[in-house]
Formats: sequence, C-alpha cells, structure tokens
Amino acid sequence: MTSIGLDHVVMRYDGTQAAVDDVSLEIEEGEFFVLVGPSGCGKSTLLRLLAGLERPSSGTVRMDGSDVTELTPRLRDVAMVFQNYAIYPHMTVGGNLGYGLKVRGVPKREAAARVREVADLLGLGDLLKRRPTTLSGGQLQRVAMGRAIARRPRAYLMDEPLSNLDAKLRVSMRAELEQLHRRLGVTTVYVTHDQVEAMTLGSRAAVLRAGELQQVAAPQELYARPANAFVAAFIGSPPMNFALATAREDGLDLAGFDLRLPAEHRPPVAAGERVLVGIRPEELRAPQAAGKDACALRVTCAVRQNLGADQLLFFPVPQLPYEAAVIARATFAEDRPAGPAVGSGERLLCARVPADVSVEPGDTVDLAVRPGALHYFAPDGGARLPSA
Amino acid sequence: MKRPGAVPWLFVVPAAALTLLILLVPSLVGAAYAFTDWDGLTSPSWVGLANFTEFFDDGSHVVGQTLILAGLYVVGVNAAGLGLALGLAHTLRTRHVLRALFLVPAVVSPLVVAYIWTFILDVDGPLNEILEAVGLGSSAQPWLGQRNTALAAVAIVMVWQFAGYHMLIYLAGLQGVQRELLEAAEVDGAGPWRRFADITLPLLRPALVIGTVLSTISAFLLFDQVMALTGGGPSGGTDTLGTYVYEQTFVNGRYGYGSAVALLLVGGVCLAALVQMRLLRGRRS
Ligand SMILES: Nc1ncnc2c1ncn2[C@@H]1O[C@H](COP(=O)(O)OP(=O)(O)OP(=O)(O)O)[C@@H](O)[C@H]1O
Ligand SMILES: [Mg+2]
Repeated sequence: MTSIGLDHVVMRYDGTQAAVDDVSLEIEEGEFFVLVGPSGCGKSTLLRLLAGLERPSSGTVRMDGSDVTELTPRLRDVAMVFQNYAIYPHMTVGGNLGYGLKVRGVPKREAAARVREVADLLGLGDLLKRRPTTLSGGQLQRVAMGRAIARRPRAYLMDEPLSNLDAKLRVSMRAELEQLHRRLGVTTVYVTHDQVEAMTLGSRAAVLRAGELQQVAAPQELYARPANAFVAAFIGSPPMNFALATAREDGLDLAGFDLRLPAEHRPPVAAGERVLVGIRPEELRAPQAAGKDACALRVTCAVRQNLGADQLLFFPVPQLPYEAAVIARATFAEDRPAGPAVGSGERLLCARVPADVSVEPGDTVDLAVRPGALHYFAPDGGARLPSA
Repeated sequence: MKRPGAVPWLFVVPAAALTLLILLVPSLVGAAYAFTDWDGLTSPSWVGLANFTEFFDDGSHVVGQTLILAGLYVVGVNAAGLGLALGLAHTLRTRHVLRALFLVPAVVSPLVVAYIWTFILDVDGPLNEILEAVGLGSSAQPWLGQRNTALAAVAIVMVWQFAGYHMLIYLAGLQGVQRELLEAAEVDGAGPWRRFADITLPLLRPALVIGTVLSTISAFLLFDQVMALTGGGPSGGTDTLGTYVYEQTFVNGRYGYGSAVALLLVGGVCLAALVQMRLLRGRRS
C-alpha cells in the first residue's frame, strides 16, 4: 500500500495558463480518493502527473514519502485507466489485459489465471479472443479498466473509467469497484466529472476548478459544508439555488421574501449588507415537512418536471440587476450554469418535492425552508461565511 | 451491404482498356521475342528456350549482384527512412525544416545525384582527400573502381537519395500510432525498446509492407544510378539485371535474348512483391 503526496505542484503546458495550479494534497495508504470538477479543470493532467507521464513545471510528487517527481512511469509502478481507453489495437482483448503482466515478468500461468479472473469480473469472458476494433465503446472501456485491474500496482489511477457505460452497467460496475477496492486495498485515485460518482465512491474527494483545489473533504462534508459557492453549485443535483439577499436585524430579505431567522442562523454580516444565499432544491419543502421554525415562501410554479419519486418545481423570483453576474462569478462552472434565467429581472429557482404533492404550472405553492439549511457566501469571490 | 451495381465499372473500364492497349498488349508481343534470336535487323527465327538456358548458364552473376544490391538497398533505405521518421515525428523543434531537407535528394534526378557522387567518390575526389587529411590515407581507395566497394557505393548512394522518400511513408504510418498507446505501454512497464517492438512496429506494419515492396521493385529495376555511377563496371562487376538487359539488347543488339531476361525480371519482381506482401501483412484484423 502506498501513500501519495503533492507539494505545490504547478503544471503549465507550453507556458500557457496553468492547467494545475499550486496543488498540495495528501492521499493516504489504501484510500479511495476522488478527483472531481468540470471539464478542462485539470483532472486528467493531475492524474498524468501522478503517473509520471508529465513532469510538473514546479513542485514535487511523493510516493510513500519519497520524491518520485523525476521517476518514469515504469519505475513508479502505477496502473492507469486512460480517459479514451488507449487499447492496443493490434492485440486481442486477452493480449491487452495481460500485457502489463507480460512486460513485468509475471509467470505465464499466473498471468493467464489473472486475465481470466479479471475478464470474468468485468463480463469480458467471451471476448478474450476478439480484436478491439470489433468492440463497442462500453466494452472497450471495460477492457481499459481490466488492463489496470489485472496488475497489482502500488496505485490505481482511473480517468473517468465508467463514463461510457449505460446507466445500469455503471451502477453495477461502481459496486464491483468498491468491492474490489475493499478486497485489494490498493490506493486508488479516481477522476470523474459525475458528482454522483464523487458522492458514492470515495472516502474523500477533491474538487478542482481551473487547476486550483477548492476543497478536499469527505463527500458528505462537501455536500453539507461546501467551502465556497463553486463547490456548493457543483456538488448536488439539481444544483443549489443562489440568490443575492440583504441582511436585516432579524433575518434576511431574499428576493422579496421576508425570512425571520433565529440568531444562530442569521448571516454573519451587518444589517443592510448583501450576502449570497444558497438553498438546495431538496431543502425547499412542503411546509408540513419543513419543521415548525421554518420560513414560508409562497411562489407560483412555472415549470414542473417529474422524476418519478420526486418532482422538480421551478418558480420565478425577482432578481437584482447585477445578480446574475455576481452568481456567475462565484459559481462559474462551464457545464453547470447557476440556474436558468427567464426574461429580464427574474430568475428560476428550483424545489425538489415528493411526486405526490399535486401541482400544475400556474398554481400557487407554499414552500418552506429550515433556517439551518441556508448557506451563506461572500458576494465577491463566493467564500463560505459561517452563520452568525 | 448494398450491391454496388454498374457504377464502379464505369470508372474501371476506361482505365483498364487503356492499360490493356498501351501496356499489356505490346508487352505480350515483346515477350514473344524472348523465344527468338531476333537481332533487330534480320527476321527472327524461333529458338525455343535457348535464350533462357543461356541466361541460366552465363547470367547468374548478374542475378547475384542484383540480389546483393537489392538486399543492401531494401534494408538500408527502410532502416534509414524509419529512423528519420522516428527522429522527426514529434520531439525536435526543427522537424518541419528537417523533413523537407531530407526529402530534397528524392526529388532530384537520379542522374544528377549520381554525377555528384561520382565526383565525391572519385579516386582524387573529396572523400579520399578527407581520409588523407585526417590521417586515414591508407583506407583511401578507388571506391567505384573495384567490384565489392562499387556495389556497396551504389547501394549507399541509392539509400542516400531515397531515405527521405521512405521517411515520408513511415511518417504517415506513425500518424496511426497514437501517443497514448505508447504512454499506456510505458505505464504498463515497457521500456523504450519494448514499446518500439510491441507497439510502434506492429502498428507500422502496413507502412513496412509498402516501404519494402516499393524499394524491392525499384532495386530490381535499378538502372539509371548504376549506369551513371559505374556503367556496370568494373568489368561487369556492378551489372544488375536492368543494366544487363540494356547492354545485351541495345549495345549488343540481342533483342531476343534481352527480351528473355527482361521477362524473367518482370516475373521475379512480381514474385518478390507477392511473397513480401504475404509475409508482412500477416493476419488481417
Ligand atoms: N497536451 C496539452 N497541451 C496543452 N494544453 C493542454 C494539454 N492537455 C491539456 N491541456 C489543457 O489543460 C487544461 C486541463 O486539461 P485536462 O485534460 O487535465 O482537463 P480535464 O479536467 O481532464 O477535462 P475533461 O473532464 O474534459 O477530461 C485544459 O485547459 C486543456 O486545454
Ligand atoms: Mg480528462
């Protein structure tokens, strides 16, 4: 088992903007560590730095406490699942799975047994003799995964290894991965842009944005206490609602709603100042489900989306002239806009309520939010503000 | 799959007809002379296989020389081309300029190249002068004037001229070797040599087939360079099938005999190309 460390690692391709910007991290022995962030934030680059495929522009990479920054991938002895598979096209599936074993001199009998075992685990048993050109995308991805799993390296580095599987297979592969990790206990760094995977898989996750580390914490902590508005917007689905509010002596003025809050849940800013408020859609509930000190909001439903067990209700609230820009700056994540805006001066917020609450577009709905469920962020920069 | 219908024939027929008319028919007519003693003046008379038996008795040294030259050239030009391509595929910043530079000799007329090299390799030429200047005067020699160095010299000149051309073939082939495959092999534990042997080389197989077949054909048909460098000398020591056919046919006026040798040459080239394609293509995926 191997621990991995990064100290002030910066990676600049051709002197352009840093793809990884001053990242320091400690990944413990045997940990299942998830790297998550939007497209282009530097996840693959970070993984390549760990594998030794890139040399950092500055900073050091450690494995088990010793500096491996200058070591080639071969000497680091890690296994990697590449984002676009990198399957050897001229070898059979079996040849691909066994290549790392062959190169590293594992005896033939043992190698064959391990290839067999991995193939059965990943449902590739019938494909061992096939050529990669005859496989589907999902099958290729499983071969890529199998090639790594067949080895017993110091660490697994996986770059979005499940992204091309159908939903059902993905769920079962996730379970297989967890079991495998429990059984082998090999340190694993797992890259994904899927926040469901980030929530379910790892013991800890790191959120990246434009090459910079935003927060490293257990998934539940990321969800419950996001370090800033970006993490808050990125973790959770549908994403957190944001609105610019004005603090008052006894609570908040939030987009025209008058929220009276007990002292311990008031925003930590002086009355009259602005604060960015975040509310998760699942915290906007029917009044009877929200508890007795909840704040009531009466809204008009504009759009309804049924998810089966739950439904999403979108409702417009008035918006300050510069609100969209403030929220975008604080939560900017290319593939997850902070919330759809309708017309000028209004934005849509989202509530997630049980499907049995009967609502039609145009209906007036009573919602409520627990004072403890309000997240406060600085309007400039989006850093988390602990409630007063 | 949909059946192609008549359209492909529209494209094939004109080209096929032209080939048949101006290439195949005259060739076949010419081939008939191989069985005669035609000297270009008197009317030919049938001699059966006499031309062929004569060639097997007298011409075998030419076959040997052609094979040696072809062997040296095919191995040399493909190794050089592959080496240049590997060197200029990614890393060097000046690679685009260098690629163009290495290609220049291939677009110069073989005759011009040959005259440049006859000058360089002359007994009193720059090569020997340099050897003397650095104190290796004892290894200075008439490079083109003795059989064994002359054959090697012709091969080297040919390799020098066409290495750039083969570099192009291998550069195109290397486009199919994605960098990530090499990276995956590196992470899997393969060193540089292993990566080349296990990943690069197998993926270059189509390019290797093309490079080998093309260079074999041109080595077998080799004519201008030998003619310009050595004229087949010294005393026939660098004669190849190409120059031999020319001498016998047009210098000695033995049209029948020349046709017979040329016919064997065409057969040999076809056979060699077929065998190579078979060997190198391997299983088709
Ligand atoms: N070889 C390269 N040369 C130059 N820039 C690069 C190179 N590879 C990546 N980049 C840049 O570095 C940044 C991070 O890229 P990276 O591939 O690490 O993102 P990612 O988080 O893996 O994204 P995705 O989720 O889309 O895979 C991007 O802005 C990208 O354009
Ligand atoms: Mg990536």
